[in-house]
Amino acid sequence: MSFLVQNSVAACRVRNVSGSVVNASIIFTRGKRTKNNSGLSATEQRVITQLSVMSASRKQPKLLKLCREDLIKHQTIQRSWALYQQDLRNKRELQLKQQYENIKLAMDTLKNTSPELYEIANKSEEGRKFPLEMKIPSDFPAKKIWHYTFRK
Amino acid sequence: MLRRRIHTARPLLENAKVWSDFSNRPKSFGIKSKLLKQALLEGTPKYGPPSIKRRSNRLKYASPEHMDDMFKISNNFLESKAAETYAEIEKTKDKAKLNQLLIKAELFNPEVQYNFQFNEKIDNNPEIIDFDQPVYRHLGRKHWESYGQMLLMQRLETLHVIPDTLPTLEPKAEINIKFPYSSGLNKWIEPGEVLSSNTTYLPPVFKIQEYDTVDPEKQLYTILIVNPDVPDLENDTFKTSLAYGLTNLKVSYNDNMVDSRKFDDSNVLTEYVAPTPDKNIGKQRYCVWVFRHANDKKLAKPSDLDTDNFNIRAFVEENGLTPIGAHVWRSEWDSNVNIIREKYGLDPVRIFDKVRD
Amino acid sequence: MPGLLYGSVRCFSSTSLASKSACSIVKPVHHLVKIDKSKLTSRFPEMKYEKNDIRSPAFKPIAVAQDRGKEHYLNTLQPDLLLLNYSHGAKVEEGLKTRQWDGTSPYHINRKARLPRGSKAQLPNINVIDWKNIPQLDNIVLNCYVSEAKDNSLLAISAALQLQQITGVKPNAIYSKSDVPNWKLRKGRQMGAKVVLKGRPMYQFLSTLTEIVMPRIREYKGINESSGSRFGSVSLGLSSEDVKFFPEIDLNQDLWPATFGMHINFNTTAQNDLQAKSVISGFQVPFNNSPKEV
Repeated sequence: MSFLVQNSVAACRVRNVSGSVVNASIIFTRGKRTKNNSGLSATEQRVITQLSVMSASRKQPKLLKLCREDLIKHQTIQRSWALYQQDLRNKRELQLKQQYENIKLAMDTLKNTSPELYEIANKSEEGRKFPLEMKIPSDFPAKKIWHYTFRK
Repeated sequence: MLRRRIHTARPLLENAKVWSDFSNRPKSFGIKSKLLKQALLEGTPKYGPPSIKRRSNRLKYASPEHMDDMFKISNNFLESKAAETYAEIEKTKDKAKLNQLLIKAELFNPEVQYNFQFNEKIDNNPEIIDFDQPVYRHLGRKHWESYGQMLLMQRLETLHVIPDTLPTLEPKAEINIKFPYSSGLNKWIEPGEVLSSNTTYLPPVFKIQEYDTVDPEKQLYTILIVNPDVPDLENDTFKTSLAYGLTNLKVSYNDNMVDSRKFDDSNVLTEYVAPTPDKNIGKQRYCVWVFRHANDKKLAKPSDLDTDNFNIRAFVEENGLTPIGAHVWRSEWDSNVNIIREKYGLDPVRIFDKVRD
Repeated sequence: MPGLLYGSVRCFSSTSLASKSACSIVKPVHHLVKIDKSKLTSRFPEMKYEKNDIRSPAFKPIAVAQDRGKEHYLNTLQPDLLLLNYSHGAKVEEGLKTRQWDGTSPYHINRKARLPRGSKAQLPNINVIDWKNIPQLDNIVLNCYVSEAKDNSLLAISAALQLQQITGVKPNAIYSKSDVPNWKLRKGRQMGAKVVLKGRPMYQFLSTLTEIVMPRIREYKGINESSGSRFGSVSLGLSSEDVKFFPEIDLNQDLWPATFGMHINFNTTAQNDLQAKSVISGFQVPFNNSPKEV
């Protein structure tokens, strides 16, 4: 943190030289260190900086104070989002259930019609891997999406 | 222009105006003030939200960005869901299910939420919070359970009202008491408060707020105030006296204040005896119990009611009463007690001392 | 008699209390209403709100951005995993359980049950996979143990900061559990840090790991096929050199004179390692198929 403070002080000084800031004594630095830590060694100073990066102090945003209308609006938005997500979940679960039941039905049928094919179809595929080339959709895809000439 | 929409599995009932069309809806489902309603449903006006009273604060206030747009989408979504629920309501015959659906249809209505969250709930205005509507009863019950009910049960337990008077209480209705006279305190009494004898000089008024589905036309109530801390010197123990008894009362969901306008002499089991504790016996508990009658049966006034040595358990059992709510306040001796004893024609106060055997 | 209600007699005079022989220190409760004391106090009114209420100081907006990793799992992997793990007519596979005594001797009463045959602990049943228990990635734990921290505890702080920089989630300190004189290790020293990733940060970390870090590791073959805890979690290790490929560290190399290796555990809801590996492979994590060299 201290090097950030130093930077901002330095920035003020630079502006001071250029003449745009008239009053040199007013330097607005948030969380300026009042204690003199100059006695610390470089390693200790470094650890203090590292700890202050991890600490939550002065990083929390302010508590939002909403007026009554906005509070109700916020609650409405939150509830409708929750309901919408619930709808999506139910829809997905229903779809998976239907998929499962259809797999079961198909296997039952296969078992009755062709026991040999059923044996092959019911062979355990547990532990089979997805191909490494299968990409996760991304917000920032690569410029070249697909390497057509790629050979493994 | 690109417009955001929420995609759902079922087609939404577009332009379903179940919440906004007030031709066939109770007034209490809408916000009374036009300005507020507009600010909520159509977006905050340029001069700031009208719920902030001071102009300078209004100017300082900034809403989160794009909240109004997002709110409109959400509100339409919830309204279309409510329309589905209303369609289901029309097909439903089962009463309990119907009640649940009526709650579900209006629970997320922003106007209902605004009315409930920011208005007086005990002294409710039926045009804003109408407890005849299942949704307001639901919200009221949740609000009561979040504070009032827990406070009451804690006080009943720590003051040993249960089991000193009745063995237990399964709270069903919210009971509030008040002494609204020139001598009294014009506020709702918190359970367990110690009140001066001057305050409790005249009988309290009761408010019985039902949240369950009952028939207000038929349901009858009994109220008893007992004092389980009357010293019984002969037996070296305490006995219970009946300080006040009202019976065969009727209340509705909204008009539920039990004061002298609500009953006449035929409803009075025993007249109010103001708390006038003797000196040095400590605080006396005045326990208010409210009961529902079973099967709308009227309670006949017993001729031999022993108010000085009252057995509340036997009384409740004999008459088939169900306790639904309680309240308690405490009284102790103060300099005013003798004056009140004179007015009620009682003996002057006794003064107890510690005697070393 | 109201005075004779619950066993003991309430007496007006106080001397009779002295004759009481004993009392229970646990007060009985006579009702069924659950009381939350924190809601009854008049102090800290804002602390009474639920955490998902915007008025609460603990409010944290959750759904602030699209989670591509989660969507990928739900849209692509989940239906495939259901099909992959389907076995027609499968039944619940009972795990090894402790063996009860048969009761032929009266000494069998209260005797400790025998351990399962061939195992030191009971093993869970393996249920049939259906639409309700499709295996998924539960969380990722990064564990960074710095053995040099026994001499220099400042290194543990650097390790914690490294984890925070990589994941964006606040790490927890880990401490040595026991004294080991041979290693000059003392109990209770801060020895590093760990962080549990869930939800969006987890998928974010996973995509950084698979798309940026792993391809840059020299001659990297993938997670060893033999890795796994038997119960659905898979681990891999990154050396202190590999960690330098994370962009947060790569771009500030002069700020990181020392980096620290770490263990990465993928915890899934799968019931065995085979299922777990097929879930993880769906997120472009390479596996080394060649048998382990001795």
